[in-house]
Amino acid sequence: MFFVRAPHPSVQATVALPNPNWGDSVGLASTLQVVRAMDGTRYTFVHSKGGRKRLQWDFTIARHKAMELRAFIKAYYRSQVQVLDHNNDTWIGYLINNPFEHAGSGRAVNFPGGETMDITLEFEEAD
Amino acid sequence: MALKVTRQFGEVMGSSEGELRVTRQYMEVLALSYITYEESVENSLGISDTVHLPERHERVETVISLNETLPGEFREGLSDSLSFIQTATRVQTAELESTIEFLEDWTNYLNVGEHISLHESLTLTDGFEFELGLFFMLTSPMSLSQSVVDIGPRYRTLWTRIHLHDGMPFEDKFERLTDTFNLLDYAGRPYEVAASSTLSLIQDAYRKQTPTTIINFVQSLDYGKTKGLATQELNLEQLIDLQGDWTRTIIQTSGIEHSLTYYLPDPCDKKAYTPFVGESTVSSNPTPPNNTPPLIQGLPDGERFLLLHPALGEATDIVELRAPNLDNRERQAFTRINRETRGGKLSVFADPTWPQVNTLVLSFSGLTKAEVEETQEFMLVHLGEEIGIIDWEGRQWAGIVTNPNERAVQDGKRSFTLTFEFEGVLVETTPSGSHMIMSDGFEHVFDKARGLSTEITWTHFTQRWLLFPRLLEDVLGLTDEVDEELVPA
Repeated sequence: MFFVRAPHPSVQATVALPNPNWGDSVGLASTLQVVRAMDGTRYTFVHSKGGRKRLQWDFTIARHKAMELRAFIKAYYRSQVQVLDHNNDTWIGYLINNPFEHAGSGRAVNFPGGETMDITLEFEEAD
Repeated sequence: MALKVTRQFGEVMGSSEGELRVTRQYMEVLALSYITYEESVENSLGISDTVHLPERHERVETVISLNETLPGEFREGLSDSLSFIQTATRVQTAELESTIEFLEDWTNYLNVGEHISLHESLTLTDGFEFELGLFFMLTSPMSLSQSVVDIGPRYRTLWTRIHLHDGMPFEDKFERLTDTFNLLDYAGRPYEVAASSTLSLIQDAYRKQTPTTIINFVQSLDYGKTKGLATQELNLEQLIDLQGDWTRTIIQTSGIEHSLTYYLPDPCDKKAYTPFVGESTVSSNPTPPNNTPPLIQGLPDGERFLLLHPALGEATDIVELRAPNLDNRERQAFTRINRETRGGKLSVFADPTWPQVNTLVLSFSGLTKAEVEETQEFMLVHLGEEIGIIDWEGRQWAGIVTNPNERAVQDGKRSFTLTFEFEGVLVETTPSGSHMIMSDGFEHVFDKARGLSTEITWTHFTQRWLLFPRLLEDVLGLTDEVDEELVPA
């Protein structure tokens, strides 16, 4: 299970999603710039960003669930959210997609809405 | 006054014979250097005072009678002003009494336009100043101001009394003896005039003194006969005309807010439209999403994807296409500001009034050449204008086509594929055409718990019961914490 709750810290709404597709990722938000001098000396300029992490999940969900997620994003795109992912890890930060893209991926007769949709959520920790 | 001659000179003129003639004479006298004139103007008013010497208790009485008679019917004013000032000092026992009687008798009748004002003003001021004696009493037969100035601790009594004495000489039969003390206020005009009678008993005590308020109803029968028992009644009547209803609400804002969310496991909670929206009193929280999904009713039979102009209202230019391919995309773009603090904290801010752009990316395959030409003609005619879309789910959009120069690709002998991007907003109302859903609703709100009445019930004599059935509500916001147990998938 995958839960997204908002707004943090006074959470009011919860969206339950199925587990994301394979290929979810987590990584540091830190950046590094390497500069090399004429004599070969290497200098690095880092931007650690406080050790924050960026995560990305890809979902294939029913059409109605995609509409629910669309309404959720529209309500809380400027608020901090809590994510309880499929590994039972809790993350607090922002959904940073811009734009959020919902793509129709196929027919699903027995699913609410009769279709499935693909959506990618990009997330970055706040602290 | 007598003068005394001290020196005298005389000058005479005359011949050697005959008589002398005094021509000048000087006299010196001895006298006082000032003169005193004793004058006295006195008007005496004879007042006879009688002192009975043999009696031990002395009494001085002054009686003045002023009788004035106004015989005619004239506008005249008669005024008697009389002041008695009596002072008694250094006596063991003294009794000061001032008695004034005003008698005004108007026997003549009045004509129209004439008026007579009868006014009696009486001021009695008694004062004691003494240094001896243990206690004393000041009594004014009418209500008046009394003051005491003394030196040292004394027993003091201030007593203001209004005597209503009715008396009858003893007879064989009598009907009634009544003492009446009436406070009557009349408000005879239809204005907001307050008529009230107030009897206030106020006592202030200092230190170890106990104030008491006593109303005594004493009926005594010294001798004679009575019928039945003597009764004492105290009637308190209050009448309130309630001509309005007042709804009172008491709200106490504590500044504590709470929010709540929840999750109920359900087999369809991962695919159906099931947002779990709790409650929140946090004023800064955004408006949560709706609990009900948007209206998706599908297109009626025989209808397909429509391009409309104008965007809203009855369309005058319509292009009909087949449903788009499954790889259609909807993009939600928001205007946000992302900032990072020096400490590495990410802050995202957005004003809800800032632009939000929805973009539909739609591809249509299997179009005929005529459909492609009709669509491109539609885009050309309404280039840059707002058009409407009724999509394959029956939802209506209003916006513009942002890439009208997108080329249609022929991917079959009679098949073309056309792709365009549409930027617009979802019209959250019933789309135009034959998709109107009508419903009638009636809601009646009635608050049965609103009991509005004010009752004041007084029992006779000593006990009083006050009943105020009013609705009072205290709202105290408390922090609610819900420990929810999440069930992993």
